[in-house]
Amino acid sequence: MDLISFSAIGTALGAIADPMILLWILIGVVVGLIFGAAPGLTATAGVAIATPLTFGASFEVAMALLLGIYCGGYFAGSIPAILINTPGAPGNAATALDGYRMARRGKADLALSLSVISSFIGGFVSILVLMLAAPRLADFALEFTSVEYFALGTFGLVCVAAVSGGSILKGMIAAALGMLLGCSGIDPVGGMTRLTFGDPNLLGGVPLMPALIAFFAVSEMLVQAARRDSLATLPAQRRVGAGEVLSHYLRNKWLTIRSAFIGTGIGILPGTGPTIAAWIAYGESARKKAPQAQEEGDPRGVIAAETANNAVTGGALIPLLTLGIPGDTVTAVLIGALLIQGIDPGPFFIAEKSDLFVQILLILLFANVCILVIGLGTRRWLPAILKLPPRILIPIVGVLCATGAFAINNTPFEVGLMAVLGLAGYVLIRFGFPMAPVVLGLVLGPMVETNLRNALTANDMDATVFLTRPIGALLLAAAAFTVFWTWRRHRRT
Amino acid sequence: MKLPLSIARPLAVAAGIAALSFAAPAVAEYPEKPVRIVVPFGAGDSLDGTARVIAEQLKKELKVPFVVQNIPGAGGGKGTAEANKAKGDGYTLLMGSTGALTARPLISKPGYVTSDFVPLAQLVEVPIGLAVKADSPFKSVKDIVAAAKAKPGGIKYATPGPGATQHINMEIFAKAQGIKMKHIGGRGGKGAITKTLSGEVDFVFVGAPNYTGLAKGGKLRVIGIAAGKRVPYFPDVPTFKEQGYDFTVAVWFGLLTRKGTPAAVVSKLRAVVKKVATQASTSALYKKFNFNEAFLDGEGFQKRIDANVAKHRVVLKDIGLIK
Repeated sequence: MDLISFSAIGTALGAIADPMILLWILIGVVVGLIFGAAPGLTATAGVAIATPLTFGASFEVAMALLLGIYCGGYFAGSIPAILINTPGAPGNAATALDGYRMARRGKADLALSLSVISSFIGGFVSILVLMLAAPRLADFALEFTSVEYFALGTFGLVCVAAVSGGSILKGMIAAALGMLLGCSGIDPVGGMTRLTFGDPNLLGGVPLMPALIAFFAVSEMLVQAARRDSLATLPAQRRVGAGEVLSHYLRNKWLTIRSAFIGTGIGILPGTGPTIAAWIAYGESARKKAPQAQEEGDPRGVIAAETANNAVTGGALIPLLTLGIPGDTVTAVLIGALLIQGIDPGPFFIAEKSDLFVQILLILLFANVCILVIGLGTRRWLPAILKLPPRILIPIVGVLCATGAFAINNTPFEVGLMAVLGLAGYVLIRFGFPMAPVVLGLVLGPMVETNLRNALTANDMDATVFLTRPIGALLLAAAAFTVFWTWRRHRRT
Repeated sequence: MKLPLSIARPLAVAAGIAALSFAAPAVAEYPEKPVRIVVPFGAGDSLDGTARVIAEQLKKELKVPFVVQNIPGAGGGKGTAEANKAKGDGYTLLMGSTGALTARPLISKPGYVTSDFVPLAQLVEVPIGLAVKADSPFKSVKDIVAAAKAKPGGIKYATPGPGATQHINMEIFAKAQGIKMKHIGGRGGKGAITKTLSGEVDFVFVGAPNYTGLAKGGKLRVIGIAAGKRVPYFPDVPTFKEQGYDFTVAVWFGLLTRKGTPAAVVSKLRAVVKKVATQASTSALYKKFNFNEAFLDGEGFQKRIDANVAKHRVVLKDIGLIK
């Protein structure tokens, strides 16, 4: 806070209080909600498409629109995740796990409310962190070398693989399958191509979004289509009051705060993003899960995943605004938008342009308020979609999935890939394999592999480096503890 | 049998028109439908911004939409492969780049070879520079070469990834100096810079515009630019040549069309691209992104591509990426 003077706050307030700027933030949030909620279109795509439109705009207008899309987009992916098991963006995949189960049991309103409020809390905490400690935290992020990234990836992998359903063995096999999928494409260390079957479409690896749509939405629709009885047994949707929602936060206040800090922290680390943040926070929440909650959907899972997911926004802006290095994919796109405004983000940005920095903070804050209002305002009628009979809902979701996969590159390959992986996912489900570890393996596998190999290369193949660096050793110890704890719990039951 | 003139004349005219419309070569009419520009990198970055501005100006000149399609992945290889699936008719253009076009086809079979594309014009260059962390003992390129000589394999450096132009050229440099260094890929330019800031590697060798802010803010020290002359945003940083090393590297970007495009379409496109690429508004945009304006016409661009391929083939063999 010592970096920001009161005069800067005054100037920034003057610039942002303009109704036109507020309108642009609102437009940004609405556009973001659309991009976030439509599977295949992500906040990153929304910001990228909107960036050239800001070439002629002022700094405030450009940031209002783009940051609005950023925040709105990260939140909205949870809506289809909860209602139709189709994460709108990779960061909302973990939300689908408990959120969709809750919706199937008449608790869609509760799940949506929790997702809106958690997104707000996550966004808000991350703005506070950005405001109070940006430069110091950026230096902390630079402590992370390949060793620490490897340890973080391992920790994430252990967390969820251990809690994904009945059989640990099946969970591990599923995670291994996901990691195998993640090996496809150009080897990030050696440069050779692997597992592409000679198809140039796979040069860049298995793209995450079609895989997510396949493993969550397509396989689930196939499961439902195969079931005759299905929707007849769906209980009526129940509305929730403010008191009930609040009680969930009071009961889970530490989880909420922890998730907000996990999200912000992972946002700060360059090369990560909301997907990893949401999974790790979800893994944390699931450690205390009761077995029956697994079936009915646990509100704690939604709270953890969505808080962390949206907390990435403020976190990812920290390395961007203090080092010029993006914390996630959206902030990578924002660099271009800032350059056009004549701003080269770097270590001097906050000190020299503190009024612009405060403007960014205020825009983020207002964008999060917009999300809260719009989200809570629409949650009542959104669950109506669940009343659609399967013979109507399943084809609609099918079309949504196909367009979503197509929209990623505007090429048909992703649609085919989605269909193949969806079918594979269905077969795996029929044999009792959980889907979450497959996705987790696909997300974290490349991170673990690349950083393991880079760490060893950089340190002359000396594996003791994983024990001598404090942060890395701590994370690996936490991973080992989780494995031990899971093993003990399973032995007792 | 003789047709009455009243019928024969309109018939003849109709036949004439029909014949004309069939014979009218697609060339004269090009373009008669929207043109797609494949950008093999993510939407929203500097290169994408450039492509979109060029597309907008081409649309004004040729009166059809020029649509940018981003297909990122494999350091540009995925989008290049996609562009190669198109017909050679000038309706699919490629924003080609150094590594994807001239190195990737040598390493593996990415679904295209360099000669699948006909160059229209080189547009911009990004000069590559060498930077170290602010507290690094290395003050000049000479220091690094000396350290690498003293301890072979002891110096580590980062580039966007294995097989990238930056990586290949740093290996060319190392070979010329008789030194051996360890390479670590950063999964992109910013990732490579992060590895330098965290102390994981000794230096980073990526596009100089990537770290203007960090250098000004005192986190990184730029110690050599591998360009013919100094760059305007680092006026105090000497080139490699000034430090006694004959070494220049640039990542270039340019427009290409699929081979088989009719010659008339190629020459029409070349003329229009030249016009829009060299006008003042385009230059102003390049400057904002810290790109070097580096227009080369079709032939000049082709020569450069050929020279790059020949050079890359030798080095890739040396570092074991091709057998």
